[in-house]
Amino acid sequence: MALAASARSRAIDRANLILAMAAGISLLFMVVLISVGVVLRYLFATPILGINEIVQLNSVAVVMLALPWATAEGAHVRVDVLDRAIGRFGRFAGDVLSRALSAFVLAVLVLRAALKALDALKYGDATNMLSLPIWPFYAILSLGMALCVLVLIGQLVLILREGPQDE
Amino acid sequence: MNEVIVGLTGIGALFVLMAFRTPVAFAMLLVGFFGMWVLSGLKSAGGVLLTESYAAVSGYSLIVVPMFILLGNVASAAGFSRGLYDAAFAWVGRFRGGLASASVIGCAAFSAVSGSSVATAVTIGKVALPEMKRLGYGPGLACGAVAAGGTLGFLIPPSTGFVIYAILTEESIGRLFMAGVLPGLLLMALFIVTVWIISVLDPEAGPRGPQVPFGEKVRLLLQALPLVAVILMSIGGIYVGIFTPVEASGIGAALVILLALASGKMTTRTFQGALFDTVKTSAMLYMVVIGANVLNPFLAVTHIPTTLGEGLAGLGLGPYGALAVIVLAYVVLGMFLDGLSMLVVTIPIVFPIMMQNGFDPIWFGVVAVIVVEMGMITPPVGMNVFVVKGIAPDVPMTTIFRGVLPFLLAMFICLILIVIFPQIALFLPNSMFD
Repeated sequence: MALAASARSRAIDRANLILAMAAGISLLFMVVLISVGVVLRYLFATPILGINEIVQLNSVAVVMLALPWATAEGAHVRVDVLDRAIGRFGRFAGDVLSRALSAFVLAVLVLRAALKALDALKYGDATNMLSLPIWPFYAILSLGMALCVLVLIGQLVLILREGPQDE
Repeated sequence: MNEVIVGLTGIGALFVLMAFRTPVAFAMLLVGFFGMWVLSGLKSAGGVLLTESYAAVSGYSLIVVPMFILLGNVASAAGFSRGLYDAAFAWVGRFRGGLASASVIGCAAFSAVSGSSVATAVTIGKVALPEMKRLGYGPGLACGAVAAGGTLGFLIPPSTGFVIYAILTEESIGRLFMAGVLPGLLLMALFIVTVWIISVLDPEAGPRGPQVPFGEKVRLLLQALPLVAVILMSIGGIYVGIFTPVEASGIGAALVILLALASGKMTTRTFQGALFDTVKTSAMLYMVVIGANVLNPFLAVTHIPTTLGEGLAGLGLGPYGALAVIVLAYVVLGMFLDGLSMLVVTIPIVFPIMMQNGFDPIWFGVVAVIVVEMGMITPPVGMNVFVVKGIAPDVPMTTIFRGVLPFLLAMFICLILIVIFPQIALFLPNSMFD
């Protein structure tokens, strides 16, 4: 049981890291695309049509691919000035509550984004200029948030298993 | 239930959640979602959640965030920050408190490639603090100069603070960037004056550095020149209208990567580290924007900003009285919240009030960013102070906070000057593209 849980946790960690790498590559693609766009526009008078749309959709990928890893790494800004004042049970309750509620709200987002992706696929929703299909980007939003939910649930299980801790 | 009561309960819940260790982004997300659920039902709350989240991650303007973070991280990983500090040291190190002044100038220069005060304080602090310790600088002055100098990162473009402010208020990022230039330089000058006064009053705290030959000064300046050129090109490009802020960020990042590769100072490993760090920080910042985006419609529905604005107007303080109340509230909040959290939590409430009072939105952006930055060095939660403490663990926290106090006064003077002379902030944005 414990072995299976550990293997699951490792699989999530690996998935997060792979997605973060993909986010890095997407970011570099964006840097290259924007720079090439500027060079082509000024030096060759041939702007890339619809570059904004590509960059915008790519930014969805960059953020959503990196978000699960950032969540797993505890990168989110939080206020820790009252950590001592609220005591070990306050910290425990806060950690449990914040993860449970956040996982719930993000799960709602996962569901809504997945439904929107299916809708966009069904009706052929596309961008204005390049007619790029937008369903994959709602799907990426759903996937990234789903992994965040898994990360939060994993953290929740760990916190519940360890119980209230001293600082 | 009365919408205002729901709104006030929501704001209360926001602070309780943050006090109980919920990350700021998630606290805003939760309050926004559950608040909308209470007021308009689950279907509507789910709709807002999806629409606002997608709008945040697919927004064109916000793309400058990962780009400029990458630019700063690569510049730091390739050791360009060291070059900036060395050049500043060569030129001003000989004066009283010269190393501390060089740290401030180094911070200002690095701020032009980095949008974060913490990153600026870390980067320059790692280089400058050991040098100042070696030359026998007073730990209060040394740590104070670096912690305060770091705050320039949020003010001098590209500034994450301005990007977040622009997204929250739908103002122009380019104009806000330009609005930060002169106040940033003014603050830098005030910090240098502060260093000089401290060094005159206590010569042992800020001794003169060694004389650097003129040829060496020129060589170090030339060494820092390529990065300075990238800075001037990207920020200047926005000013003259050649680039949009997004294009400037992309071009800046590409050029710094090329410079780092050409200099041979960056390995595959350090580049990977910079890239990973960039996507992690960017994801964190985007999550904050998602949270703020979901919270904002809830606040709008509850009419909280309007009600608070009317309440403030009812006090009969006038616009500048209202401004003073808000600045005071920021100073108090700054003691407990970090800059980014404070900005995203307060701007949706405070901005409409300031607009009701007839203030310029760009000008108020500068004021807000400076006040938020004051919070970065005020006790008990001063992020920059914690950062400096991390680099100089042997210096007691009280010494660092005491060292920071004169610089806090300088920031206050800067703020008063900008309130009295709004053109300090507005001259450049108003003359853009001329």
